[in-house]
Amino acid sequence: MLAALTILACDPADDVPLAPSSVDTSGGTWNLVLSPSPDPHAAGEVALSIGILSNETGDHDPEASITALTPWMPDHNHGISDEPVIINHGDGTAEASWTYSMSGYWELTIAVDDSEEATVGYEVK
Amino acid sequence: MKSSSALVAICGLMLSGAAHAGACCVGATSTVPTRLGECEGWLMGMGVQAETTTGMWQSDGQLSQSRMTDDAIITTLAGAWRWDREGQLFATLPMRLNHRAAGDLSELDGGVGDLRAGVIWDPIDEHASSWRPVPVLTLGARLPTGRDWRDAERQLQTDVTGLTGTALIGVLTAERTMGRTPWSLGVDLESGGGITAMGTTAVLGRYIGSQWSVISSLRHSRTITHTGSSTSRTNTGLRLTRGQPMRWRAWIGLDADVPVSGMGQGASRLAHASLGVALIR
Repeated sequence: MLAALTILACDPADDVPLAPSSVDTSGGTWNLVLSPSPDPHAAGEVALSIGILSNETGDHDPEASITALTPWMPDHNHGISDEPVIINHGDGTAEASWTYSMSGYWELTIAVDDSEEATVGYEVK
Repeated sequence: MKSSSALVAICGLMLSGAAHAGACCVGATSTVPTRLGECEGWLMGMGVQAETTTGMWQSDGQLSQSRMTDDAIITTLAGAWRWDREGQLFATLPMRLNHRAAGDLSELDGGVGDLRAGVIWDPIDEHASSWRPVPVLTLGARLPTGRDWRDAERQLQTDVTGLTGTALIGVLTAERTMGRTPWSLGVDLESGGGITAMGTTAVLGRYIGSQWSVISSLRHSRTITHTGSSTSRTNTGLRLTRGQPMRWRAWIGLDADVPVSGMGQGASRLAHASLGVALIR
């Protein structure tokens, strides 16, 4: 039984890019340029600078904004206590900050204009 | 809290191992301090365990250091009552005091953890055969009496003391004492709240005189979430127990996750030191 359940346990992280410098959103409208601080992320307080680039023009999209950012630890089935603080600068860039409660593999799901999203993974030290 | 995978580990049946952190949880009757022997009627015990994080296994199984401090003191109350030669009830209730520090943040918090309770069924008298191991079945539940992460108010979640939802617990072991050498081999499963934990545990011990025993254990466990993500860890431990039948038992123990790449995945590496005492009639 143990062996069977072990085999059945796929790893969803296989499809999630690990600490990419940029990632396309689900519909392909935007490319998010990501700059973590500290780099790499460590447990405790962290920040992420996000550039929102239009894939059509290649430039920052001042009309687009980050509407949600959700840290999730998929292997342990939990998130964080406080919602991340997101500041959109209105010029196609944004800054988010939050607190990782522990080290390990975390995934961030970043929503743009509540219409498209991207998920990236981080090995938090 | 520690990681969910640590909290979910099936260790509610005893105090001396890793009460909630994945160490030796299954053993021969006479080698589990808080499990009643055949001649014993009831037991009340208390164990104290110090837990520390020594590092991590990354999601690819490689060893790495953790930059955060992550420690806990876990005090566990235990009770057991035998109503028949074949059956006994048990219950354990942990209380966690968690300390975490990362960067400029440092937190100390805790509270009551998750209650575990159930029935141990030991249908075959070991003395019926001179060599054959006997099966022992445990069925129980983990109740969400602790605070899970959804109710956490502290940034580092040191106020988390339990897991989400109720879980069912099942443990099946084969046990035998060969002369002065008890051993057991068991599999366990705990499922609920979006996480399924399973493990295999091997225990080998030795009686020293009439009042002492030393027990070693090796355990591998794995947790799988409802989305298919998983963690695993391998743990080894040693425990020294002294006691008098029908009167008392006391124990000290050490255990640690094995610091070898590939022996774990996506989990903190933990180490524990524990001691406890139980009154028995």
